Amino acid sequence: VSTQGLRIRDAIFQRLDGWPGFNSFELTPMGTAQPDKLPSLAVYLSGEVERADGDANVTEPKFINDVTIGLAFMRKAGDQTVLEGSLDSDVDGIKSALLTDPTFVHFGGAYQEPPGEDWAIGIPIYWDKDLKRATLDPIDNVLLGVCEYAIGTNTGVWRVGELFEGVTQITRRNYWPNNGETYFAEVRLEMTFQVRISYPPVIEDDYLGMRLTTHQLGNGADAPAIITVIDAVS
Amino acid sequence: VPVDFDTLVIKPAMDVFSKAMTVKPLASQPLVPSYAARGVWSKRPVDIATEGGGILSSEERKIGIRLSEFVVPIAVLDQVKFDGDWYWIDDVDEDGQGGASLTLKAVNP
Repeated sequence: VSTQGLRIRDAIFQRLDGWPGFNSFELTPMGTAQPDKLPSLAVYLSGEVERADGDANVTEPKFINDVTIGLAFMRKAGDQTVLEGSLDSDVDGIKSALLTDPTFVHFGGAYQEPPGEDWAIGIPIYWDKDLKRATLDPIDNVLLGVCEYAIGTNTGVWRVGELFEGVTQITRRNYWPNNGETYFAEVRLEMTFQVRISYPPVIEDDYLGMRLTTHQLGNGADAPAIITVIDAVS
Repeated sequence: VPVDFDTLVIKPAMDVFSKAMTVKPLASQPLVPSYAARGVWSKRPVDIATEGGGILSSEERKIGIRLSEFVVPIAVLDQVKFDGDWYWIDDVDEDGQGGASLTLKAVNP
């Protein structure tokens, strides 16, 4: 499981945790649920497919990943028509909220580091909806992306990358169990996100420098030499 | 010799185990007001497998009735009130000996 997949899952969960009308929120569809905890919503990483990004036999392994995030909605009701309408409304509302959220669907951008924070490459950056700014504080905030690099020198401005490149597929499946104390229904919404990942080689013997001694052809080792030192470029 | 299970078995069982209930015959007799009846309550736990591989821990609730006590048999989508709660009739399974088992779904879960 790639880090990007879990990142997208967490970003969705943070935006849906506490969504009105639901009694329980889970990060996994597994486990045993009790009817009194319904309606419930679970957000989980359903699967991932990695396809070669370009020619597979050129450069390091690079992939375009299809990360599928599942959202499982479960409700109960004394009327099946009400049940179907409620779930349909849940799914449409949440899907629309996610796909129109510019802090979730974006192409990355430059953000100012707030006073007192010390951003670094690779750390997750969150969006503070109250103060309308990016921050590394995750409490009550939603994941925006990952800090990629500093823009300029000592400007406090950083490039924060996107969560994904695109949404390539959305599927919806309804499930109506026959048994139980009342009418239950489950809807699974699966959203597939495209991300990229590459695996550049880990260089353990980094180039440090080279000393090159050149003698004129035909002369012995004691003849004057030209010595050239090529240092590593830092 | 034929055995009258309805009289010999179901009726005595109903006399001992049944409780009062109210039937709202929405499907079987749409224009008829609610009426009193009796039935034997039972329930058992059921685990419902969810699409995601989880389990919803629920229970199956049923009422056993004696068909000869009904002028018009109870039908699916009638409602019954039992112990203060209303239920839809989700299924009716006759046992062939004069009894029937009503599978219930809570109207106000």
